[in-house]
Amino acid sequence: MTLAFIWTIQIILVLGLSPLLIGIIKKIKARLQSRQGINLLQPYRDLWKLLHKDEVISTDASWIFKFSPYLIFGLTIFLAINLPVFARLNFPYVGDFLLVAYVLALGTFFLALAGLDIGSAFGGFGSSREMTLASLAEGGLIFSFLVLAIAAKSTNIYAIAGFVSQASVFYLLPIILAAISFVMCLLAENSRYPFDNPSTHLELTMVHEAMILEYSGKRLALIEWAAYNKLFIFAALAAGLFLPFGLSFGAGIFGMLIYLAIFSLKILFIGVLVAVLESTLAKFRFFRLPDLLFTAFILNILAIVLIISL
Amino acid sequence: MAISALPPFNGFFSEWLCFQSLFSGANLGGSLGLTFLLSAGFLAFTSALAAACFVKAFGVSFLARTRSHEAEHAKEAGPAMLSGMGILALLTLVFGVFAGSISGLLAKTSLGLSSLAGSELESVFNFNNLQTPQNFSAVSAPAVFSGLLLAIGVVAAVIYFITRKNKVTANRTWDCGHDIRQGMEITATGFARSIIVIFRGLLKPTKQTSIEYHDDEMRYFPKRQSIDVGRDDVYQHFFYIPLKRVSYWLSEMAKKIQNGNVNLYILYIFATLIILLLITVR
Repeated sequence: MTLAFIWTIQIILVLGLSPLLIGIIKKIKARLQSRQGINLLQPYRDLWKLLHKDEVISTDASWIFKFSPYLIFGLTIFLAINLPVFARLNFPYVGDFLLVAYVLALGTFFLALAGLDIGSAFGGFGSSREMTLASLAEGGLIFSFLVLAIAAKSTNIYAIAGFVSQASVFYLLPIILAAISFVMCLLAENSRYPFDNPSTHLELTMVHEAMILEYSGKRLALIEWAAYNKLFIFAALAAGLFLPFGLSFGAGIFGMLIYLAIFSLKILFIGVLVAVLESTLAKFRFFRLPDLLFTAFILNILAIVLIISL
Repeated sequence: MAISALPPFNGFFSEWLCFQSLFSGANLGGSLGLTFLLSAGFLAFTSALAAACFVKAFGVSFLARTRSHEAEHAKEAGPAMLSGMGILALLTLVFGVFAGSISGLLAKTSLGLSSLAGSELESVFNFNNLQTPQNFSAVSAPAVFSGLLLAIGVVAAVIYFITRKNKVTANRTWDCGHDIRQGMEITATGFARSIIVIFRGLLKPTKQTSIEYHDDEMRYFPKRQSIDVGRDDVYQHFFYIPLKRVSYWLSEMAKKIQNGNVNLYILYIFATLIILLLITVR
C-alpha cells in the first residue's frame, strides 16, 4: 500500500513539476541574456494548448510515427517509479540502474525511428545525430552509475542513494568525478548546450527538434512533455544519487513534507546549474562532442579505479 | 529491438546478465578487475551502437518513402511466410518476459559442466526474477513488461479521452516549400556517416569525388558529379589480408622444394634418413 502511495506521489511529482522546471530554466536563461523572459507557467499553457489543437499527420507516416509519442511518454512514467526520491524505500525489483539506462535508450530508439519515418531530410539527419550522440553518451551514463554501484555494492538506485548519504570522506573524490560526468551525460541526453540548442527551430544543426519537426497537436504535446519529464528525471537522479542530503527525516506526513521541500530545492539547484551552464557555454561543433563524451567516460574509469584501490 | 538489447525483450536480459558478470569481475580488484571493467565499458558502447545500427537498418528499409519503382509495388508476403518470422519475433518477447525461468533451465545444463560445479549460478535465478548473489542487483522481467505496458496503455487512454474531439488530418510532409522527393531522404550511408567520421582513425573511410564539366576551360557548370564513399573492413584489412599474404608466401616457398620431380623426392627421403641416422647414432 505504501509502495503504491509513494509511486503515485513520484509520478505526480515528475509529470506535474517537470514543466515548471523547464519554465525556471528558461526564465533564468532569459534573465542572463537581459531579457524579461516568459512566465514560469508558460510550459503548462503550451502543453494545454497543444493538447486541444487539431493534428496534421504526414501521409508517409507509418504506425511507428503514430505510436512513438505514447511509448515515449509512457516510458517516462515507468522511469518515474524508478527514481530515488524516497531513499528509504527498499524494494529489490525496482530501480536497477541498467534498467533505467536501457529504458531511456528505448525512448531514444523510437524517437529516432519516428524521425526517419516521415521521409523528410530534417528528420533523418536529426535521427542520425541523435543516435550518434546517444551511442556515445550511453557508456558515460552507465559508468557514472557504475562508480556508485561498485562503491555501494549494489546496482539498485535506492541502495546507492542510501550508501552515498552515509559515505565516508574517502569516497568524495570518485563521487565528484562521477557527478561531473553524469552532468555531461545529462546535457547530452536532454539535447542541451553544448550538444544541441533546445530553443531552436530550423537551424541546420538541430538534433532533437529535427526529429519532432512533423509532430503537431496532441502528439507534439506528448513528445514535449516527455522531454520535460526526461530532464526532470535526470535532475531527480542527480539529486538522489549525488546530493543525498536530508534523507533522514522521520516517517509520517510532516517528515515527508519537509523531505519533499528539500527535494524540490535540490531539483531547483540542478535547474539553476543547467541554466547557468547553458548560458555560459557555446554550442560545440558536432564532431568535437565525442571528445566531451569520452572525457566523461574516462573520468568514470578514473573514479572506479580510485574506488577499487581504496 | 531484441538485438539492440532493449527491454522488455530477451536481448536486454541477456545483456543484463552479461553486465552483471562483468561487474562482479570488476569487484575482484587489481589488474584483473580492470580488465573486466574495460570489457564492460566496451559492452556499454557497443550496445548503444547496435541500437544506432538497427535504427538505421529498420528505418531505411521499412520507413518513409520508397526509392525504387519495385519497392513501391511491394506487397506483404503470404500468411505462411509471415507466421514463420512472427513466431520467432514472439519468442524474443516470450524469452524476455520469462527470462528468469528460462535462464534457470539453461543454468541447469551448465551446472553439469565440471568447471562450473559448485558455483553460485542457481542462486541467480528464481522464478521469473533475476537476482545476483549478495543482493548486488535484481530485476524482475514480468514486472518490467507489465509496467511498461500499463504506463503506455494509461497514457493512450487518457490522451484519447482528452483529445477525442480533435481532428486528425493527413497531409504532405513539410520540407521548406519544396516538393519532397525520394532522393531527399537520408540514406543508410548518410545515417552512419557521422559515426564513421568519429571513428575514422579506426575505420579508415575513403572518399573520392569526380566532376565532369560542360566546358573544361570554364569550370563553372558541372555536367556530372559523383562521389564514391567506401570503407574497408577493418578485420579484412588488418587481419585476413596479411594472413593471406603470409600463407601465400609460405606456399611459394613450398613450391620451390616441391617441384614434382620424383628423383628429388627420393633425395629428400634419403637426406632425412641420413640425418635421422646421425641423430640416433650420436
